Amino acid sequence: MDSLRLDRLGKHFGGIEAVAELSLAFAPGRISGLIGPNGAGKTTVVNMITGLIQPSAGRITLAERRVDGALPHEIARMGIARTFQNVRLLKEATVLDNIVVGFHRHEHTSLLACSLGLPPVWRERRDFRAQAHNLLTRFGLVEFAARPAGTISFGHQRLVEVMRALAMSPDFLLLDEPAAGMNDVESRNLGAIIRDLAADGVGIVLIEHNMRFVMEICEAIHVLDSGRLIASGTAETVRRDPAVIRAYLGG
Amino acid sequence: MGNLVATYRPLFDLICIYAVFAFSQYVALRAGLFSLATAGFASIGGYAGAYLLKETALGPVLSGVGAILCGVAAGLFLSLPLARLRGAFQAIATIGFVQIMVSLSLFAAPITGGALGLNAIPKVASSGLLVAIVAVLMLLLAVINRGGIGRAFDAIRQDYTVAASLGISTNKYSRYAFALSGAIGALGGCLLAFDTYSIQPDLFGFPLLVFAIAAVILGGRSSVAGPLVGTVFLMVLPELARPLADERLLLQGALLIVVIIYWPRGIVDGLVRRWHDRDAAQDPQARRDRHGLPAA
Repeated sequence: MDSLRLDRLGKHFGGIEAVAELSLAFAPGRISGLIGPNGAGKTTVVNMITGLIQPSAGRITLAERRVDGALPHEIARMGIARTFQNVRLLKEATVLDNIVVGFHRHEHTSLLACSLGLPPVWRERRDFRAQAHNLLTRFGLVEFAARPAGTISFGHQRLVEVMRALAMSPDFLLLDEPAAGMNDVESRNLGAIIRDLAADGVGIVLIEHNMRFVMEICEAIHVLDSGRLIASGTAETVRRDPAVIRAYLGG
Repeated sequence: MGNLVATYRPLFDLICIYAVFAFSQYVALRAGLFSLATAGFASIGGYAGAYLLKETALGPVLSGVGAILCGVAAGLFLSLPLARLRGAFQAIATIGFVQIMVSLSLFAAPITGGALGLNAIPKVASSGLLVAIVAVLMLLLAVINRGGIGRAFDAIRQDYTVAASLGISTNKYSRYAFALSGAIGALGGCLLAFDTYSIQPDLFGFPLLVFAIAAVILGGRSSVAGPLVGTVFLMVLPELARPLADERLLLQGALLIVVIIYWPRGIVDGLVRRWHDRDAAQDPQARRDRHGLPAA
């Protein structure tokens, strides 16, 4: 199994333990939720997996390959994609170009060929643009293709970010609050998209505060509080867990 | 008529050469580097080209190639410590590089001629050659912009973290940009030596550094035509206002401030933007047609 595994992962910033002794396994084709109150360490976990910050302890592996210690772009090339809590699109670029950038992992032309504009460069460009167009069509946003990314609605920007991550054809996709700022219809559409991805074999790690959304689509839910795992299980078991109710859901 | 050409040909040549400097700066900015090293690269290219042409039997073409290779080497060398730095740190370190090159050219008198510079360099550059070089350079940069390198540059410039999260090696592309900026800057320096008979250290100092960045910001950082338009503007304006020619630097600085405040995208990108806005104000179907999209 090509799981993404966290093994006794820990991170402290000075004296503050942001994450401690966290062991989890995310399976391909499965939707796992990572929930917990603000400051529980969820985004820190995602940042450690994607190499933006180095863990203080423990290890991260993908299919037995060591992930921690690698550089962010190397981790991306291993097949781990992410979105950001506060949407980070290239605002000057068009919606289409934002997605095309995501295909970088599939680029095979050398720097020299690229500098000289040899035919494969243009083939690749055409190919990436066509695929980006297909993604936009599939997500129902094709009419915005030529718009500067900063000018479309916030919910749509989140979707474009998801598409950009998908352009990498990742094995694992880490979504940091993808439904934040979306209305009910939009988040339901997003839910359907995420289920389709999982059905295609992509392992999904979902950080989200919208409980209805999480409970509806996640097959496994892990609850963090103050950097520690306090519960794991299906939506039903987590919802009834007294520790979770006390720390997060509230009575 | 013949008189007019004779009068303005030197200015025309200089515009072509200084446009090359602007392109060297443009590549760095486009790639998200805060490098101000162009003047230093120009110095290396100028002295290397002039030295090879005068003291060896390589001939103009190979001397030029040698100068460009020296620029590439300098760019790669600078990128070793600087590709990992960001923003202001890169700017300060590259200003230091320019100052070192000025000092080196003053002190390495056996090669550079010291403060007197190198003189009696054979004039091997013609106006036609200069135009051709600028045209080829613009074509090359346009090609680079549209392919994978341009996409990587855009991503790194706009959001470093996002670029890395998409698998883009920011180090690799920063190194490439330093090398390319070095090559183009050295080419410009070499052309200056091949066109104007003599070079001195003060040609490649702080004023050139300011000129290069001013030309790109004035003309536009995004479109390939930007640096060229910025150069023309900066070179022609003092000629038009002859009485102010001595205050060239002052004029340049004042213009830069005004443009940054009122037209931050620069002349070319500002115009392009305006055209797009007008385009967006038209009826939706005309817009869709223009972008080749099917009817809604």
